[in-house]
Amino acid sequence: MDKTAALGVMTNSFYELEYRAQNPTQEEGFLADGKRAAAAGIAKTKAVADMGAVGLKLDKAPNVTKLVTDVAAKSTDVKPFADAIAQKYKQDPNFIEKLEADMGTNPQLAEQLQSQILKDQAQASQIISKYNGSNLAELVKPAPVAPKPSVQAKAPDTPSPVTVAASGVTQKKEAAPPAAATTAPAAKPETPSPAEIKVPPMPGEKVGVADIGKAAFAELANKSNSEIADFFTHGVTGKDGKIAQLGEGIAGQAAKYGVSASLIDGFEKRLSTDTKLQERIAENLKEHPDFVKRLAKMSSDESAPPDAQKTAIKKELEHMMSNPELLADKNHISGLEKKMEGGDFLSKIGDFFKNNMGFDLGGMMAGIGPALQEMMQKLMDMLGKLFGKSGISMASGNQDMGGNLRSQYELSSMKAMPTEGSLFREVKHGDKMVKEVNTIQVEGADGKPLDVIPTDGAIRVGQGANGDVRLRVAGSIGQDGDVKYTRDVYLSKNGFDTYKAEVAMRNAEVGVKDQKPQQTVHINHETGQEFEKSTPQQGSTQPSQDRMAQTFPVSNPGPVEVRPLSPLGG
Amino acid sequence: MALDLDDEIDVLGAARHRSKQDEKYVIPENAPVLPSIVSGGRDAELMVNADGDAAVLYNQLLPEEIDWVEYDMDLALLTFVTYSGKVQGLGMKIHKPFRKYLSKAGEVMLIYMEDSKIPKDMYSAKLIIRNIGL
Repeated sequence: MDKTAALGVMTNSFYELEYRAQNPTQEEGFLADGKRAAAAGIAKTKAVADMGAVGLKLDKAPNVTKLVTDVAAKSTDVKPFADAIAQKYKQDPNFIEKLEADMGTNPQLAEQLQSQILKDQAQASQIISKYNGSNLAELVKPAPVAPKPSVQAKAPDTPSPVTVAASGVTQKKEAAPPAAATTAPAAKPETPSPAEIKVPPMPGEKVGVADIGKAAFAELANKSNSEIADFFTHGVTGKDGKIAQLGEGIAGQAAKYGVSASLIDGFEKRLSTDTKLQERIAENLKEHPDFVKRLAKMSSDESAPPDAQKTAIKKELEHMMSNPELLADKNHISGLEKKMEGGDFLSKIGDFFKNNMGFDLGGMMAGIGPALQEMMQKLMDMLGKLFGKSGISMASGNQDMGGNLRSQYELSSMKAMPTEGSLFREVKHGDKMVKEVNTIQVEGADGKPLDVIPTDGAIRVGQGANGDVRLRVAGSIGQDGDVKYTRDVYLSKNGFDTYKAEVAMRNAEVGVKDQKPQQTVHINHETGQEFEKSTPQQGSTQPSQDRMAQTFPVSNPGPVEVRPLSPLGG
Repeated sequence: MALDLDDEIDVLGAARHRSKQDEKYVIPENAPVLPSIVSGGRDAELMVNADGDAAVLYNQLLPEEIDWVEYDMDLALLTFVTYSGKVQGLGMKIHKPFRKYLSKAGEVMLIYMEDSKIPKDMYSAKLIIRNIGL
């Protein structure tokens, strides 16, 4: 058996452990079948992740790796050994490092351990399970073989041969007789022991080195820069090398984004066969640990990419896949690193986009992984910048796409706040109970009381010389406080102070935001002449920015420079 | 007496009286030039702010993803180059008020607004400025 096959057996050991942990009972019926199938799927995912972590540890533990490789090479079956390692790893995830240190300082002990494992793998596996990080010398001492009990606790229903290899020679012996022969069926316990739980075969495709490599790569997301540099120091070339596996990982993502199969194939072939390129890529990645971490995060991100990101990522992937050399290009990777920046705002994103921004940003942000969220945030920051200043606009039709986008962007940053713990109240209208939004009463600019929905993220659009404020707040809300429409209210200075105090009492996260007075100058696309837009924005009750500027004083109309043009424009 | 032949069959009439509409040039399917963004019922809006942040919004999907955008200040044209190297004009002249701000831009956000209302796709493309000073 080679190392690859041995790692496959070890993955199966992890799978069995996970499955038994997920599915501790042996229920019957189709519902139980469904549960078993789900448990098997989860167990497989966890097993591959565990193997990835073990793979990373083995990468830095040459003595333990040699032990695994040698045992695999000299055996036809490594299941007892693999089971022992998986079980021990679950108990103590650092045991590989400890064993590596012990074997490194005492090579004789390492040889003894290997020899015992090869002599009687099942027996020697006890050494692994009893190992505590400092007792290897004690455990590998030859011990008298204990007589086997006459009746085993439990054995497979059908006796099966157990293969044990010794010094390169495969020996076969019969397994112990089944327990059923000596135990009455009525004595069967209600809760089976873990060993009694039948584990179905691992679902889906067989786990290969590439899967383990991918899982190991995903582990890099949480590693230090020096550990990442170590990772790309050896084992990088060849068709099973780390760069080939990286290529396979990127190819898997690319397929998800709809990159053509021919482009993917070409990319994978280059990354698995061009040794010089593999070396250059490894050297480059050593210098860009942050990029590797982000890529690692993305590789383990199984969520569906949001629509708004698909094209951008696909474009980037197509560019990279048609020029695999770019992975070895220092400047290109630095550029990509910059594009993927923006993680500081992650914690804010959930709240910020809870509102429905057309493509259900709230649900989408919750459903996508952090790597995609970062990229999403970058785009939203760009939108924020675009709308944060006065500007000019030219449209071929009269749909006011810009107005709609601005409106949705603003809505996404607002949230209605409850009054006395509730957003709504039941009000009797005739003989019917009607649900109404809870509001607060503040003083309007005309001195009269005004009902306003307390809104976190309300926007102070303008302020008059006498202190009156034009405030953009929620005008209509959904069940969970998402703002469907906004409205502009005009408050006296006192009214505004009351409003601020009310939302502060409700622990507003954003409170009132100031929006610098902005102006949108609309240009006729045929004549190049400025014109006043009269179409109200769709999706919001608010009038367009320039019309608002006429109905309420603003302190600064904005720096846009507009000059009269000839009928032909230009 | 002159003969009145107006009612006779005029087999060449169709060719002689071909309307402008009939002569409309159709871009071959594999041509490296795509119809303008503003064409075939697709509308677009160009937005630029005082800092040079720019966006092009459109209400029907584009045939190919845009790799970069070129703003020719001399010709007042905005041209989009697709991933496969095809070129596509905006279909609107970039009038003078945009010059000052668009010339500051480094990239253009491309935003697909489904039904002109809902942002469905968003990505940015680098902007190259051409200005010989004609």
